[in-house]
Amino acid sequence: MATVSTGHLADHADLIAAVRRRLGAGVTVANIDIPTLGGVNRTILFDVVDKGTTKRYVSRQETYVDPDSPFLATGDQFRAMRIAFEHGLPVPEPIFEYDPSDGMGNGFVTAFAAGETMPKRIQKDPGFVAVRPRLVADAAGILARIHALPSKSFDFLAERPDSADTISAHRDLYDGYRQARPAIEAGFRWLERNHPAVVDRVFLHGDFRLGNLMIDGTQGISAVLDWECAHLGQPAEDLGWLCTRSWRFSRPDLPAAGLASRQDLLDAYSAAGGRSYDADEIRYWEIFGLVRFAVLNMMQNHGHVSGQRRGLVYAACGRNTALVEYDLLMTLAGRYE
Amino acid sequence: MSDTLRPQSPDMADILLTVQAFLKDCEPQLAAEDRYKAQVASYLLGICAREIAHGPSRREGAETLCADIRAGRRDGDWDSLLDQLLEEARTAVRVTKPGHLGETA
Repeated sequence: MATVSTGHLADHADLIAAVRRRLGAGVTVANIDIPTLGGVNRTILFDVVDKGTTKRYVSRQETYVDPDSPFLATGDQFRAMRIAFEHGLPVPEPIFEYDPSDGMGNGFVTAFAAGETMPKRIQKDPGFVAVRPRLVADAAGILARIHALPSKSFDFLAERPDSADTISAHRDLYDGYRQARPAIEAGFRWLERNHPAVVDRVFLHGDFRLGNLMIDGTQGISAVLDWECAHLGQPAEDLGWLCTRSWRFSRPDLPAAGLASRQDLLDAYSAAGGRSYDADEIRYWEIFGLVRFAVLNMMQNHGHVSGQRRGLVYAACGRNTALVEYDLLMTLAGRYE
Repeated sequence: MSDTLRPQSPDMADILLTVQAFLKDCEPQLAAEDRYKAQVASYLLGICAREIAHGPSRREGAETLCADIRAGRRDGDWDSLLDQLLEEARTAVRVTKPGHLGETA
């Protein structure tokens, strides 16, 4: 975790009260840190000391709700994480959800997962040499297990636009930002003309990529984070997102998370019980991934220029739309691998 | 009264470079979050400098082109459409982040 500003206990009476309500009046809260990197959500790290045992937790609160946000409300995120956790998936243990009497707004508390999320460090730092060769196989295994979760448990996601049709959901977002961008339009047209038959509809993580995987230098993937894009759809969508060029970071030559080949990922995925796909089926969802990432950059731009939430980073995201469009067109024209 | 603006000095490109240099000087003293933001600020100023050097952007035609693509009216000359869009995209990348053009695999 990057820079941390230390919070004073007195400023966190509401947090402490909420924790004691759930974990017992006798527990003590200590070492409160507020990482300043957090974007729209407020994140608080803290220890809970219970009869001499110390455990670290993370509180996530929504500070601002964009009425047009495509992301899951915190309650649904928490619910999805709890199901995944109960099935033994590596998810930070969901502890409790805030309710109105906490005065904390919408949000939840989970166990703290230690490790590294910075993609370029995971790809290059010597500290990850031991786990790097197996990260993609491990990721494939986790994805196969996520996709095998009983989809009945996720009926609460069925009405979401991205569960009904993720492509038209993103086209609706794009239309809402009222910027005519021919490259993105061409991406949507290509997706429409090449749409594969829908074979299965399973629970998807929705944002499964380096950056959202907590990596430990000896254990490998210790936690899958950020469940706010979870929805129902075709398993290939998650696999394609993991291979999307923007998520290869410093190694665009290695499609699977910038760590391995597409085939390595697909072999490991089917070996772990996932469906067998050929590489072209994944490439389709990589094109979608580029269109989606371009639209997400437009979303950040929209929040900035509309004044809903202004900021340097959002402004840069807006300009970065052009870079994603370039990658999209190079891919569509067959000029990238 | 005339609204003619005679060239002033330093010009805009120089001012942007000067502010960028200031941000760079500040970076070592900043904590991680602010250092990151200073880098982003510097990146944005770089975009401004390159856009000024490039000259004004043009909006006309984008809506019609989008409508034609969506309606399938460009399906018949898809490859030349992609060539045209790639040319435009290259120009936008050269303004945004020229180094991105070199990223091939």
